[in-house]
Amino acid sequence: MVTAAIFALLVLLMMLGVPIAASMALTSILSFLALGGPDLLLMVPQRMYSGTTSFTLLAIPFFILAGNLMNTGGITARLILFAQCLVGHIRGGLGHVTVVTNMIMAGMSGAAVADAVGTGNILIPSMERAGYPRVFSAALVGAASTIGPIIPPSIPFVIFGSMTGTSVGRLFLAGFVPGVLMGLLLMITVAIISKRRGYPHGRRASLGELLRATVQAAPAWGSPLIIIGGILAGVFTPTEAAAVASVYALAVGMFVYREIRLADLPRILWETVRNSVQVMFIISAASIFGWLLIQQQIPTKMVEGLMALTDQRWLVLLIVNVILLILGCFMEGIAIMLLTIPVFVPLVTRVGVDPVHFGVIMALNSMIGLLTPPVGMCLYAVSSISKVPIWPLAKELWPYIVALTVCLFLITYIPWLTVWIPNLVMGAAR
Amino acid sequence: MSHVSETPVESRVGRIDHALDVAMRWISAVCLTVLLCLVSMMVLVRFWPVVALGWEDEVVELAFAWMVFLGSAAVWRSGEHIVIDFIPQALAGTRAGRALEMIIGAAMLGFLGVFAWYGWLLTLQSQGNTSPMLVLPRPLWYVSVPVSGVVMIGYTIARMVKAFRQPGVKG
Repeated sequence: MVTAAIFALLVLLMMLGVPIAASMALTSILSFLALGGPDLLLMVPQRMYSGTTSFTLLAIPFFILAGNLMNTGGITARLILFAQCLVGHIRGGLGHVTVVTNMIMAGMSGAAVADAVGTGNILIPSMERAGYPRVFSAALVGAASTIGPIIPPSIPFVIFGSMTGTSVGRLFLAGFVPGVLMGLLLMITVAIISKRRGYPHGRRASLGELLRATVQAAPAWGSPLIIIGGILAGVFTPTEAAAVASVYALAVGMFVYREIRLADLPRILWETVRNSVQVMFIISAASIFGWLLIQQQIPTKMVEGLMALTDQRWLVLLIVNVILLILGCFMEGIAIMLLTIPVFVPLVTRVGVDPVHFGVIMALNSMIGLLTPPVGMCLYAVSSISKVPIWPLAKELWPYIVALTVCLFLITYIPWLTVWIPNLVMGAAR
Repeated sequence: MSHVSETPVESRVGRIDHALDVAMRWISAVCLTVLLCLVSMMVLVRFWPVVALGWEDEVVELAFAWMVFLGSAAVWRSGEHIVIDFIPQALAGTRAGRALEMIIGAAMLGFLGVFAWYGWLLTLQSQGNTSPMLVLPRPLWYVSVPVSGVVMIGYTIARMVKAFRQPGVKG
């Protein structure tokens, strides 16, 4: 009863248009007043403060900064050129370029929306010039950007790791194979659509052009090497790797490509703060909401309720995935993770699912949520940069959503796809 | 349409608003820069231990807290916090939309009131404590909460007043 009331209030406030962070915090405040009196209210600023200032979460602004610096500093543009030489000659060439660029970018950035904006600003106009309908390129840019947070580094993994105590390094490694799989499935989808609609293919790049593009993009490759190599070798924590990646992207943009001027920095820094606090303020509010759930023992009750229905692992995972996909249509991805981690992680570990495996399932699921209407942050971002309205864009997106959902179920039911690399590199878990 | 001239009070409010906005953006951007420099330095010092740090965790927490809370206040001002807005969008410009604006405003004030007031109590509670290395007063960290809370309350009230006065509302 209490549980239903708490969630009903939260959903009501969010649907009315109260900012998500304020909805979570106000629901907690009203619940404290109803259940325990005003003494508990001191927990509100305390949890909101401690919930945002942890060192692990500091990786979030740094990964966003690295993405913004790559977009401004010309790294993104060079990667697109490189991808064009690599796959531009296949039918639907620029479509494949979009996917491949996002797969490479994914190795440096951790936020899907930043990737969508960065690649979309360049690729959507150039695809239009090459004769692709704008709605096709916009939809594809949105779909491909969701690879970003699955191939490490990744903001959702940082959040999952910091909330559950799972190793962020292990989660990063677990994202590799699923990220590549997403890319392959999206490329198959592009190939089918392109063949059906008779999209053009570009000219095959000469060996000289390929070499030149590779050399020009070479400094861009340093970033994933630093991030992944550094974390693997135990040289840095993910947060430190994110900071070093930002410094590296800044150095490449300023001194190698010379596209970032000193005067650009205040704008880039403020944009990074803005993008970061949009996420951080929700994390802050979610930490008081999470405390309320635990104080009311709601996760335990829900786990017991679901376990009474079934203790079959495949069925539990199916139920969890379907719930997350439905929530993904109506809520922002990070908010869903923050709300459901306290309930679902104890549930799936009870039926023997590795938390690393589940972290990837959750992250990929929330990525699909970024694309599904009516609420999808990537959908909004791509719609705003391409000026394609939400609904036509959503209609164009469905084949990609199907492809990503296929990928979700593959990684859900073949745990090997996720846990193989982390177990190989870091040894078997516990 | 006739030009509506600003009253002296409104123009003063406008100037304060502008100055506050610029200050919040700059301070939070500087905090991010400090964080980037400090964390990079922590990595460097690990390889070349030329200086002994020890105070960096304190400054990281300080800069991070101010960046998040002051940055949130600046984003609150521009109304860019993440919102599910299809109901407000659908009702925009109608009487029901205006009523909804008031309800949203009241809800936000309810949260912000607790956030700012209990944030202030938290700050007072920490009085007398200092940070271990730099021996700075602890309230410096926590006061970021009530400061940003008060700023957000101000902008929420301004938003409600604007919505209330909005001309041309249909039934």
